[in-house]
Amino acid sequence: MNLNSPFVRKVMYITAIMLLLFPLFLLGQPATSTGRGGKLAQLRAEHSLSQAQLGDIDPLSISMQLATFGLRGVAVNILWEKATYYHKTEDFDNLSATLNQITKLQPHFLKVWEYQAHNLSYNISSEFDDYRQRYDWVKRGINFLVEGTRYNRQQPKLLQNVGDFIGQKIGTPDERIQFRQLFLEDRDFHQTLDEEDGIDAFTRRALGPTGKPDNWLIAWQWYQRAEDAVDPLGRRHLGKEPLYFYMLKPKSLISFAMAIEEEGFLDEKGREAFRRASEGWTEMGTRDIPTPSGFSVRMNDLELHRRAAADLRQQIISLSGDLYERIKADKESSLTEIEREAMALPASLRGDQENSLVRDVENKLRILNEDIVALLPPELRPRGASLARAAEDRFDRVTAVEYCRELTNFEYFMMRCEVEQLKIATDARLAVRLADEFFVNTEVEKARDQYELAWDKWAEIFRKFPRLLDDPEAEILRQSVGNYEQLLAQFDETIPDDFKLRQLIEKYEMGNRLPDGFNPTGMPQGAGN
Amino acid sequence: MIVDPSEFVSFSTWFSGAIAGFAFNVLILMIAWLVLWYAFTVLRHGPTEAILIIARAVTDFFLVDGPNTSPRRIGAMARLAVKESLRRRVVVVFAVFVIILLFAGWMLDTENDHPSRLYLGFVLTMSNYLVLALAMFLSAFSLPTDIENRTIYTITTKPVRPMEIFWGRVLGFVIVGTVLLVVMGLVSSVFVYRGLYHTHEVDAASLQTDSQLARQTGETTHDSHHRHDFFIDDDSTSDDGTIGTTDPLVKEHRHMVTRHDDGTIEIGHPQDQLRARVPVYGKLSFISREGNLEERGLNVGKEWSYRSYIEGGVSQSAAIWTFSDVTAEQFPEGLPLELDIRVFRTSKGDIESQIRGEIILMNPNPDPQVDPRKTRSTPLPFRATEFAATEEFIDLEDIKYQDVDGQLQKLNLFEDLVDDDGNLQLLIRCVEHAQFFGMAQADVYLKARETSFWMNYAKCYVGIWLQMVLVVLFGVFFSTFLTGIVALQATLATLVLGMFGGFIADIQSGEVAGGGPIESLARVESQEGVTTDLDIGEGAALIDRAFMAAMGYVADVVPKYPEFNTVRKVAYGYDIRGSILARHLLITLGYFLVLSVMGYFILKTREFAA
Repeated sequence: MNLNSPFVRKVMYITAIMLLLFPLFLLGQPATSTGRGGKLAQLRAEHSLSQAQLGDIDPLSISMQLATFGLRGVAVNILWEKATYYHKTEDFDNLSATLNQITKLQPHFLKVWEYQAHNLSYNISSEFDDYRQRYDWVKRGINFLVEGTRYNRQQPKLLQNVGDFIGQKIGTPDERIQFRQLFLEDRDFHQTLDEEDGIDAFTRRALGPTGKPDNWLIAWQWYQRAEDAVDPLGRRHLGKEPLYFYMLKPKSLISFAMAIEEEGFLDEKGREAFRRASEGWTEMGTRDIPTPSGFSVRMNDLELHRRAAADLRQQIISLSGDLYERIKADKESSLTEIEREAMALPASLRGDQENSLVRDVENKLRILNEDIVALLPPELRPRGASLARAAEDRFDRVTAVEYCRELTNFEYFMMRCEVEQLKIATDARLAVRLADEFFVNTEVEKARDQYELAWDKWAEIFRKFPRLLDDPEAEILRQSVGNYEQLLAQFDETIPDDFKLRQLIEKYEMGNRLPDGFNPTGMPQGAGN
Repeated sequence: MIVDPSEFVSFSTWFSGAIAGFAFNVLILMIAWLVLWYAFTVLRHGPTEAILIIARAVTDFFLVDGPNTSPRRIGAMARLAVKESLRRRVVVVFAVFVIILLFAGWMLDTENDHPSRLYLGFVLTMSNYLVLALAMFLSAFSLPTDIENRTIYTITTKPVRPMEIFWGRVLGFVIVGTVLLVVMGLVSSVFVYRGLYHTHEVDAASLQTDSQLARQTGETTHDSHHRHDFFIDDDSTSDDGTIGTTDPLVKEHRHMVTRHDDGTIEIGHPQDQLRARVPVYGKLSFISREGNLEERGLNVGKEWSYRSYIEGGVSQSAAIWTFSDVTAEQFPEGLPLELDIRVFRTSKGDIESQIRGEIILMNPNPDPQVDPRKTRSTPLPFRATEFAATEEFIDLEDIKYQDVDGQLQKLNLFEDLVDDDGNLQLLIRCVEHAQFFGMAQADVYLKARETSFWMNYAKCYVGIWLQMVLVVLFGVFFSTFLTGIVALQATLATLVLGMFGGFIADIQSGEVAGGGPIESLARVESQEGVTTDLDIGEGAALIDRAFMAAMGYVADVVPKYPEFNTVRKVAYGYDIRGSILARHLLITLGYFLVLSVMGYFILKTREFAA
């Protein structure tokens, strides 16, 4: 038989096909309830890539993808172009419809959901003049994103975005009062959110002081869902640094507390909200936050690391005997006369030059652990080096914790939560609020009484928590003091010299606060004082 | 709604310009045709014979074939074409249409604020595309198939004249397409009606009675992704009971509410969803900050320049509309104005309030002898609402002026403010400082009346039908001298060029960056962005320009299909004017005449045996 004959060729082809079926079967066998399936099915399960593991399976979406006959990319490109065109020509209905089509074709491409949800809630909503219409479009972006989470259930980034939109987009813009009110009354939207996994819109943890769901508390639940979706192996992208990722949940409680105080709940409800916020913030401080340095830290552990670092240094100093004192004396003896004089000057009397000199001197006098260890006797050096390494590690952790605390304003919010839980704080705020209202309504006597009551309380607060003087809230308080000044002027009086909030006035005088008639397009008048 | 500026041109102005352009193009075409025809004929028969052949063909057209064209034979050819279409299972298109409709509900965004626009846009666009595709396939393959199968001989030997063959095919395919369109239209209308129809119940917990206002208010249940607030005034009665309404409009509709004598409240069917307003547009001009008359207002930085803006506050900035034919017969009780203007805030201002504006009515040509105070009304305030055509009815009783003593006196709109030619000017200003109103010509109009939505819907299908006729004409024309697949491609090319003519013009003018085909290819290869300068060489640039010019000319010559598309008008609830339809009809007629003549001469001179 001729090897080139068609029959032989056919037999060879069929044999090759039959042989190839075996590896194909091994590779492509689907997973079943009783078996793990082929290699591909196993890989899908291992990396959570199967359709069912990603999220909902939508027959319409699959149908549309199949109907493009492999030209899904082209179709999507055209739809994106159309979406851009509709946005430009303010045809928002068709834009919204086009976005739905895009997501049907690319349900697992996260960027589509993120980008277009942001487009709806932030860009398109701002095109409308009526705040009610803006709110509708913010909601539309939220609904869009929520739909995205159904297709991509375990994506922390997307889940957190929902929290961001519900919390920040409703709770922080200029029209937040109106948006929050609309949200409070939006029963249908509450119902829609309540239907999502892990979200309870009608239980206590979502209800604000009016007994209706609050946007910040709903956002908190979405942040919780995002944290629950975090993959311990880190395969699912958080979308931001872990520090910021984990900060948002407790921050939403603080925002809730601040919002209801702004709305007038200056009572036990407000204090309770800050109590809850404080618990959340403290809890965040106990969380292990990965750092770029390769280790994790907890923000509550600052003192722990500082003490440990100081203790280790003390051990090194003790190990060195009198070596430390000798090194110190040598360094001090090398100082110049000018440097000594600068050091001797009290801090309040130093000028720029003296301060610069003092900094240089402090650097010169600094004795590093390594310096001590280097001069230790050889038999003590290994122990000393070990202590120095441990101290260095502790010091790195101190730096990392300080950095994290600074980025998150950890101490400020801790203090703020602490202060706002005190009755004196809510009473002080209430007194100022009432006083301002009386002042605006020209009820001067009542206004005066309330102001003076308020100043007593605020003075007490600033005495216990002087850092609050640096708070922007203090600058707002200064405006109320300004009202008080105007009020006194009606009685032909001025602020007395022993005014309890004299520090506040001095801190926020001209040059330290925005002057009247400030021109945002140029330098403020009176600049250069 | 966006309205193309060409729609504001009157029919007579359009016609005079169009006829001149048509005559010019026909002349160019005729000369080019004769030259090409002569050149081809010379190659085959020599120069003298060629002249004779051409002369004979032309005389036959006018003296033999033309006068003896038989409607009976045309009808017979049309019957053949219909039978052929049925044999080709044209009903499959209808089946595809129905299947898509069945699944459309899944794809349409039912939570949209304007569901009627989506539904109408969807069914009309889908009908449009399907019927054009059908027309293309039917018309392009018909004659070439006959020629290939030699069945053309049985026709030409009847004898059937070339024009009868051409017209018969066109008529047959148009009949098929028309029947399909009618059925599609009926099915679509049912789909739209059913898709938009919904009901509500009363949310009993929301009912409240205000005895002072003698009014009962409440909310409906949440159905079809929305709910309504409603009110019932106790003194508004009818035979069925006390009548109320939902207010404000939600998703562009409202429901009547009836409280029966037994206290039950019934929510009626949705109303005002499907409308056909008849707008009376005016001519728009602007007054600048300094008080100068301008064609356009300010640009506030938007990329899309369809609208321009006027500044609010103490600036003289204003927009002026000049309306014609304002008569008491048309507007017996007042001016039913509708505004769809935009707002641009430079400061937040009062978030909860809409920006205030004012309307002033003026006589465009006041009599110098008349007190100037009587030639313009006092300002009529309004609040701007965006993205919705809001009604501002100006009652005749509210039109006043301030006399010399500062007292308000009544003005007669038609005697004092409308000039002898029936013109009236309407000035709009923004009252609030540092805020802006944006407007285009179609954003403010007088709503003369409303017509039947379903008549308007049918008019839209007429526009689709005309597009189909054009595609059939081109398909049959190309099939007279090209094979089936090539004729299809040629027809598709005219369709694409017609659809994207505006885009081609923008590339030619430079409004769309990126250059012609050679420059685009160079940019793709070098990965340069469209806005960066790219030197492709003088020769290549020249070729590009020539190519774009040719494409631009062809795009000008082929029908501009988007102009025939009146889907947007129907979706947004505006009447399709008869003058627009007449324009489209005349355009189609023009193509019909030209393509018929060209098709005749090709068939006449074509030797089928070859």
